[in-house]
Amino acid sequence: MIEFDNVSLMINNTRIIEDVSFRVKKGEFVFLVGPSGAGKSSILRLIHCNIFPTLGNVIVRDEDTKKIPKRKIPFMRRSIGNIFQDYKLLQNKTAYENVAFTLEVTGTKRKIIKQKTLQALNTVGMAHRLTHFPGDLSGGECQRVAIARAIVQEPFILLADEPTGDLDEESSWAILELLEKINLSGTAILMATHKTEFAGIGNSRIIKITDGRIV
Amino acid sequence: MYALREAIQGISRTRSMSLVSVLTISVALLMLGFVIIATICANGIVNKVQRSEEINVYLHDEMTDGEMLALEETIESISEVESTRIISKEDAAKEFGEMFGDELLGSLKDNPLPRSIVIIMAEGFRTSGSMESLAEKIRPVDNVESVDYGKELMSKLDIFFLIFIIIESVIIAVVLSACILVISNTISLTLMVRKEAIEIMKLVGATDSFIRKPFYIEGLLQGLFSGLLTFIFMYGIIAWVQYAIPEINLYKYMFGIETLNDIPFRNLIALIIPAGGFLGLLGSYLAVRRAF
Repeated sequence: MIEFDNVSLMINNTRIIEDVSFRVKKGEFVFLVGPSGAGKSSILRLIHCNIFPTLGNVIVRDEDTKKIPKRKIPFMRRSIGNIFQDYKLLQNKTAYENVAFTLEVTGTKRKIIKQKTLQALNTVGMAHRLTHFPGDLSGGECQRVAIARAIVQEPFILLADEPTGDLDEESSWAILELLEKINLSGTAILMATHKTEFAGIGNSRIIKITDGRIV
Repeated sequence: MYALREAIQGISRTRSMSLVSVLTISVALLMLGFVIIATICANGIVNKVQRSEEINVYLHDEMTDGEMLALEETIESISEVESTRIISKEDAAKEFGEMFGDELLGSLKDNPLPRSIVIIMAEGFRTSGSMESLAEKIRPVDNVESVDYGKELMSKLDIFFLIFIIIESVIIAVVLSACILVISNTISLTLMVRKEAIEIMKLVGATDSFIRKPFYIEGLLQGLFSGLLTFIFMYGIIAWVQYAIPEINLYKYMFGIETLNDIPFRNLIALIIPAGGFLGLLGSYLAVRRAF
């Protein structure tokens, strides 16, 4: 489903990733563990087609990212969910609007938007906070809204970039439980984290990365 | 629908900047409108002077009436010529008498004034070059005494019109560039304000054309609104001038119409509205392409 074949990445003559190879199978939960600056976020960005490998190939659902035409990339991204440490929620939109926005900008019909948005917010346990703005929500709640936004398009994989980075321990475990629940419903998860204590929950697999190399 | 809603929200978010933008573009379009009106006036004046300028072909008395009519017919068939007319010796004497009094000619036994063919050039050929070229063709014809036209005046008029067109083109280019720049900057500001939303749109898989559309509409709306405002300004200013100085029939002078409500005038001025829209669209296109 996701395949890295001897991938190296150079940005401005700086080596970010070197000769990385791994696979993420359908419905897997994989932790990408390593210190800050190890290249974890770059790996996620390579999958999302924000950047492209200098050497090697990144295969997403049988397609080499370097060969995907530029105009097709947005459509490919619709099948990949993303969550971040800083949530990336729009502050002037409510929880409902933040999630619905994803469907709106990808041209989904209004009736379906309402149905899917409510369903996604219900899955993450935020159905009671529909009209709240991000500023009125706790960090954990913001991350739940962000997860709802990531899963509303029913992606085959969820890329999580340090999703617990800004959260206290209790909230972090709650988010991990939620991700595990989403994973059990069939969505693969690739989670980048520097917190080794979170890695290895349930049936997950760990890939350790240091200084751009898998160790 | 989404794009229109976002465009209106975009204008609302950068309200003061949008207002400045609309007013600046309106002033620029107003200048443009008056430059165009000035061109119409100048063109009218030049055309009128050019039209009054004729080529006179003076004929020897030896030329028979048949030869004269044949020559007139030949000249009239030339594509550069709009019309011709024959001035007989009697007509020439009458015209002379009106200008200098009858006494001078009356003291002479015979009428010394020659017959002539008067040529009016067709529109587009009322230049010194075209007139000289035609005169060159007629001069060698038998029994043609001389061919004459206001050569000096025509040359000066040609130069005046050329300078006018150059100055006008420069003004129009500057004004148009200013309009595009102002709209482009306003849209750039909206793009900065919406940077986060654009980033998220890209993240979740919105296409570039979908992201760009609201910004194009925003520029278009600003341009159209500026055009409308300019239309109202121009209509008002011209009406006021007419009211303040009723002795001058400004409309007749400029547009050959009697009142402000005449359709051609409104149509002409109303062109400023789609022109504003086009400039708005172009400005936003440049800003968006620069951004992503």
